[in-house]
Amino acid sequence: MRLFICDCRGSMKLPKIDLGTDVKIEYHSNLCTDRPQIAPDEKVVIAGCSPNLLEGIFPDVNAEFVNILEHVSLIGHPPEKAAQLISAAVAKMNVTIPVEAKVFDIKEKSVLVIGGGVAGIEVATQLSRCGVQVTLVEKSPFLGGTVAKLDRLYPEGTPHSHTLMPLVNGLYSQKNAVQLCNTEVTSVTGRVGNYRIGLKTKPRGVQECINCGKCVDVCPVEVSDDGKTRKAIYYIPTFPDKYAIDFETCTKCGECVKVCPGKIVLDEKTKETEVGAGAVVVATGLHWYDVSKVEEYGYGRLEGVMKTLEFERAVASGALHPKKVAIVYCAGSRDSKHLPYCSKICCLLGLKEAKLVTDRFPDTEVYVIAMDMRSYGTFEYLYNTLRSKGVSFIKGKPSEISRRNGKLTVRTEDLYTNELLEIEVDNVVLSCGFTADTETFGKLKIKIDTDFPVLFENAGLGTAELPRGIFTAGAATFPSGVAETLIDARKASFSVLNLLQQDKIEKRLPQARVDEDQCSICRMCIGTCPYGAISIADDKIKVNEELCMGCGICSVTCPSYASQLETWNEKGLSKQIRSLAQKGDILALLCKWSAYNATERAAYDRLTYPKNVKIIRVPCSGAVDPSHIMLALTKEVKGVLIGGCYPHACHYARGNFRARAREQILRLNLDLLGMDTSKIRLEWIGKDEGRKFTEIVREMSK
Amino acid sequence: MIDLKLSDPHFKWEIMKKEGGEGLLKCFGCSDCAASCPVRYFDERYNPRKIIRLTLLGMKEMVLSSPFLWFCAHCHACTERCPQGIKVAELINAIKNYAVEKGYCPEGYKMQLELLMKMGRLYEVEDFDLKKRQRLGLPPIDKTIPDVAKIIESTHILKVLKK
Repeated sequence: MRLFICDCRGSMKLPKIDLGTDVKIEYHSNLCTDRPQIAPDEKVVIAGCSPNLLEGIFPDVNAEFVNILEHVSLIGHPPEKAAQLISAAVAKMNVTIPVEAKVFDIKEKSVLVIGGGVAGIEVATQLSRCGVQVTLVEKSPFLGGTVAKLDRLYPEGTPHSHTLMPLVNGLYSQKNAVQLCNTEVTSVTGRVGNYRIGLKTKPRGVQECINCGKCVDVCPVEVSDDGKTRKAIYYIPTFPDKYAIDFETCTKCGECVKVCPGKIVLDEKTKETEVGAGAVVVATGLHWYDVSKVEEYGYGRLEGVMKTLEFERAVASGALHPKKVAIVYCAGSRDSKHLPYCSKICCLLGLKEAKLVTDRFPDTEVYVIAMDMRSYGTFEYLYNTLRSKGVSFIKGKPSEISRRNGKLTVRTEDLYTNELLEIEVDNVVLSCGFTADTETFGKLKIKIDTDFPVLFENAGLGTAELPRGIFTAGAATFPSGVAETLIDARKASFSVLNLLQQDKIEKRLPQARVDEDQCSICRMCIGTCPYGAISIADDKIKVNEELCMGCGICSVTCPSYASQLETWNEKGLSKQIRSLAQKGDILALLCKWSAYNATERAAYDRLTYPKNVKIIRVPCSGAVDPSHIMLALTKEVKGVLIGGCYPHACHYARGNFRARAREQILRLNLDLLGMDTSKIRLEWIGKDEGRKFTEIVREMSK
Repeated sequence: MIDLKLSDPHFKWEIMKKEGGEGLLKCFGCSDCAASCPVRYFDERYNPRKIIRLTLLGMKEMVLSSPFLWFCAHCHACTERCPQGIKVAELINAIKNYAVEKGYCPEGYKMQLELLMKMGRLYEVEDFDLKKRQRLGLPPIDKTIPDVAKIIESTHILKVLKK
């Protein structure tokens, strides 16, 4: 093994180190500029300045970094401490599993876009313009998604065709794009750069069409489609430019076949195909919350209570002319029993409906009942406009909607006047929130919380760190308006291009490895992984290389030490602690994202702490094994500090919460054994909180 | 309890037409006016926000018959602070004017008007007051100011009150 020691341009006093003949020591004073030659499979220990800096200088090296600058020299600790830290690192490095670079070939240069709404259309157009082969898959018979169903778009109230038609036309003029309507994704296999996607295309019924509309006149089946009544054979003025049969309601009476001058086939079969893609874009758009679950509002039970989309379509089609309307906001949103989050756009949708109905029928009285009006950004002017139009705003959340004396009655407390209030109206419009598309994300094996935001996208990682080749665009990530959706779609297209222009991508993160001989298939790691990277196949635990981020939470959860993290395995850490911990020491196991950086901050600020504080860098506070704490305690240390990120700020989603749970259980156990629990301390230390760190360790050493 | 069956949808538009009432619809209920109001230090029942919001809901009877409508001291602190630029004191004035038109004038105001018509003053000047002024070396003042009655007549307030 080679050991590099850098004295930072001669600023450090180095100790005498003798680690036997196996370790070859090389002294440097400018490691940051004079990079020595190190083979990729070589194990090395580099002692010098901050590992955050050295990791950037030696990204492709299997190295253990020892921070002798910030942890020894800068804070005035004796050089002997540096010698201890180095020999502990050498002891650890001897038994660690080296990081293996994972290489993913980008074989397929084509893209699959799921969802043919504005986001999907925009992604497909942008990519095909850049010469990428795109397959666009849409579940319904027509492109356009939610936007095609709307009458107009907020804030200006422009017709949807204003925005949608140029987008659709832009896509149809592309040679590289294939649009498959009536098609669903059935299965997804493979990995980044080489996905195989199973598709199922349902029959359209209408094969040749001249848009004469005779079929609609003779069709006997009437269907209510989001507030608008249509026949079982119908047309939406987007693309493809032909009629379609809704086979879920069609009775196959054959009337349309008789009058059709083109060709209608009623007994077409479902087609199953398979396509390849290097990347997948999820653009599945908005999914309305099932607002009938909010029982007190009576959706589906009381006639006249409708969702925003239904109301908009009913008013626009002329089927509805209410004299008095109440628009109820946050129906099921910001509610711990339903959707705990704010869906962001429903306030604006509600305002749009108010504008739609007052524009069309100026005599209609409109009451908007809202807890808060979140007309964010420049949309405030839409709210201002509606107030000036005389729409009445009531602050509060209705307790119930009921039918009394034949009239819909909304009961609420108006917080503007602090008075109880009852309104009788013709129609109640529920502005309800949106849910995540768990079905599609489930098919892609992406672990998302049952609600928004989609953790996957929220991690803000590039393709090198999270090489999935799966991107989200538009409202599939989180509900958004049309303008925001288009911007997001363009950003997603850029990320896709970025991925596809590479022939291969390399990922060099420590990864969990499962030893099959030791694994008892207890499945505990499957549930604990924050990324859903662990799965079970053929009675074997498999770690998905694309998904594993190297947090080490699974290795600590594993009861038989079968799952081990590269560079941070159980054996290595044990060796390091055994070598480092001495009687009376304070051992600090600090998260490399936050608390470890705080120690460096303390050094820059010249905040000193006792020299018996020994710092060990761990990937996450959730990767600290209780057995390591116990090991330190048997070495008669004075205290063990575990430092992690603040709650909800964990780099690996929930690692610090795992650490907290483990710490509490360990305390209980120590208490049962009659041992001193005050020696263990778990603290949240932010990356700049050097002062907090020094205060804690000073307190512990008293 | 507000029963919106009793609400008059034209009420807010009528206030909007009155001088000073133009800003009414801009209100978004932030309650800055109520927080700024010095009258509230003495009587918390007075709340300009509530008057405005009830007007917006068209609760005509509730607003006009409320005694608190007349508590405004016209300090204009609310006007200075309103984030929507509503001249709140002017707006309250507009509602007061509307109330008088509809016969909701409080008796005290009517009595004050009578005094002004009679003497041109609210405080009657007697011989005792004149003697006191003389002792202090101040010139005497008129017991009545007839011009005030002329000004009042030119405002047509008497005709409005008679209606």
